[in-house]
Amino acid sequence: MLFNSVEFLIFYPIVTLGYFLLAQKYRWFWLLAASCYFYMFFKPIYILILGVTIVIDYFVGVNLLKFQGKKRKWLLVASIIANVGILAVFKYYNFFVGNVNTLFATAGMGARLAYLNILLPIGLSFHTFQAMSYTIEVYRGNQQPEKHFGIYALYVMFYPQLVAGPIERPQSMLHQFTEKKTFNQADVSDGLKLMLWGLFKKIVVADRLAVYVGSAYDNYINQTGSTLIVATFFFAIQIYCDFSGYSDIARGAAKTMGFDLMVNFRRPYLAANITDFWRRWHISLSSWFKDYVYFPLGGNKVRLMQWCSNILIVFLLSGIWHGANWTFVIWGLIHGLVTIAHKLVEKFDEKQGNSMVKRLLLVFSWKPLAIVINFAIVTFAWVFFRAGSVEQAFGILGKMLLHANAPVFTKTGVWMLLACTGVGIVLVADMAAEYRFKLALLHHRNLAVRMASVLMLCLGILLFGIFRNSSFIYFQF
Amino acid sequence: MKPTFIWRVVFLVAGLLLADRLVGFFMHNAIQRQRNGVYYEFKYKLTQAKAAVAILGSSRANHHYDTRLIEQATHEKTMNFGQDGTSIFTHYILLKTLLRWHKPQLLVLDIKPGDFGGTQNFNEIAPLYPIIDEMAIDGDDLSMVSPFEKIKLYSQCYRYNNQVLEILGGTRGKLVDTATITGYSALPVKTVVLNNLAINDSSFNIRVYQYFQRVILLCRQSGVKLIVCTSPCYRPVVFDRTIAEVEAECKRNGVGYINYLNNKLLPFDASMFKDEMHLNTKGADVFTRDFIQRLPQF
Repeated sequence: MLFNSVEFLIFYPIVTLGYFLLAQKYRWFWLLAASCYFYMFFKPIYILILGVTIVIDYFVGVNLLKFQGKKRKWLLVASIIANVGILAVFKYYNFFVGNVNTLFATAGMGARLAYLNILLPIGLSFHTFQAMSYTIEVYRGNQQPEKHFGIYALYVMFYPQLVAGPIERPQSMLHQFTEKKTFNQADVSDGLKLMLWGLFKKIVVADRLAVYVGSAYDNYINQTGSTLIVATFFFAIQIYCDFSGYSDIARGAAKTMGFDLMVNFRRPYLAANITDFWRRWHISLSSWFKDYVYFPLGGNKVRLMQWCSNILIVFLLSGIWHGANWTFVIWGLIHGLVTIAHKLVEKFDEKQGNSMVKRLLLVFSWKPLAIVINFAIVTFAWVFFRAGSVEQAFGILGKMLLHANAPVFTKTGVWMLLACTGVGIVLVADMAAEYRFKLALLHHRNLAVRMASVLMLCLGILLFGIFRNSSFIYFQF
Repeated sequence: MKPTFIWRVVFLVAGLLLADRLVGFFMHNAIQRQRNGVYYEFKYKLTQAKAAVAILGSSRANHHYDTRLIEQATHEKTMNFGQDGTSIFTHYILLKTLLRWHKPQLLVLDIKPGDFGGTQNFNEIAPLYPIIDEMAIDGDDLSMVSPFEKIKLYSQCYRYNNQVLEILGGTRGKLVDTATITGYSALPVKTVVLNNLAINDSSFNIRVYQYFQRVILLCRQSGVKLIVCTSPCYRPVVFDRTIAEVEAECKRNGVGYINYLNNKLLPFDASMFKDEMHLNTKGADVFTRDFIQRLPQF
């Protein structure tokens, strides 16, 4: 079920009201049933895959407490193999086969591996990572295994964050399902406002920009370089509004029932460097990789070369996590290389006195300029994220460089005005939050201002929203 | 739950309903005060133009049939009702509405390959929402629109979704000279690379097709001469179920059918197309002149 569908408009109040009306001991079951229904709305059969990983990880979690030494380790390995194995089959098998077949063909060999005719279960990468964080934390002794199967299943399947995160940790989430939640006006009010703002970002901004981006990228051969530059800028905003919009709705829906999900975005485009960007963008995923890949590899407490390769490994994994395509690998590689470069410059900067290089670095560290440069780098990398193939990505970049002086394709003047206004509203809201301007109209002291802001947002969605039930970009991962 | 919270929710919901009605009322008035723009032209074409020749269809009708050329050749007032992104469902409603005001002598209906395929969306009548009260839509037609779309239509604001600025813009500026309204809109831009992948489409949706049969029936009952035409398409067509069914239906009902696919009637080269499905100005000119030549056969 999509958050931006009318079905959800019916589903959400029923589930939330039902949750508060039921006695505490039945609430987990109510939420679990609702989450199953929510997931089965996409493709019912795939709930079985989710069920298999839940059963495996539940038993691994319970048994991790019983065993000691190597047996514990093997249990953890078994759980990771099961989770990654399912992900590998459904997400990466056909990608692997495609590459092997290309290699065979290049080598002049006639052999061909067969493709699997399967669809990727929605949100598989998200709930797999969430399930893995549970077994790893139990193994590390940071989390007691959950003995109640239903509660554990709910931890993996809780509907607001089931298909596109935030990827929660058991320490911050599991205990919330057993706590008694009472109806809290402040939580309900904050949650609904968060959902409304998320819906605005998705329906009014992201889905409008998607029309332009789609027509430019899908037919890039016939577009001018300047059109593709505008489309790439729009995509940068589109993916932010789409994904952060989803996260806001997810957090808001959970918040109304009294659950706190982690903040997934913290105004990423106002980051002054790439490291800062990754502290603000898809925080739940970047912290997952940091905790379960980067630190176990040694983090920055190793030799320089090892440190650089650790960073690169994390970003390459992050790239391939997003999708089984070389475009995502290159996207991860770009972020990895830029992060390494930034870390090295920082290290170099510490050692310099008042040299020429130091002064030059000072110019680039002037915050507004640094933000613009960082945004340009991130936007450049989005080309690979959005393109359907590596060939297309390089074709688009080539056009951007060689035909940038040709006229920009604008849909209609009105369309462009609405698109730019939407982008402007989101950027101003982010800047206001970042620099603490008194612009938080939805949380204003004056009740009339708060009410008027909510009304304006509702009317804005009704009048300028794109109602096509379009899916969220991150659902495909 | 404190009473103040409940009162706030009630107040907010009431405010939202009131704001929705107010904006709806304001936009409804703006529609009545159009001086130019899409809806001014739309209303003029439907209610006042009294064209003897009417052209119905999607964007291909809109961009392919040069009404001025048809007028010059037939000496009859011609109006193009082609609308981007629409299908037979919208065309049928437009025809019903047109017949409320005026009976054209000749109706040209443009059908493209895949028009009666399996994935038609009846919510496509959205561009007509701002003037929905003036359209001839009955319960039977509305039953085709999805239930959720009908729920959304309870909002007065939603009717004007994404049309607000056009409608407000239409209330300002110069009053358009109705003599300049033809409905035809040329496509001057040429796409650099055209996709010539052959069309082989056997999809078919009987519910959509029934609206084509209704158009034929409505024309017969109203005494309007109907000619169905499939204007040129850059992509070759190996097989298209829609076209096959249209050809057979026209034959059964004695309706004239002209098919320009696969360059059967006239050669169209890449320089005449804007994209795979649309002729550019040059192509539209060549096509319309040839189309006019063929009209006397019917």
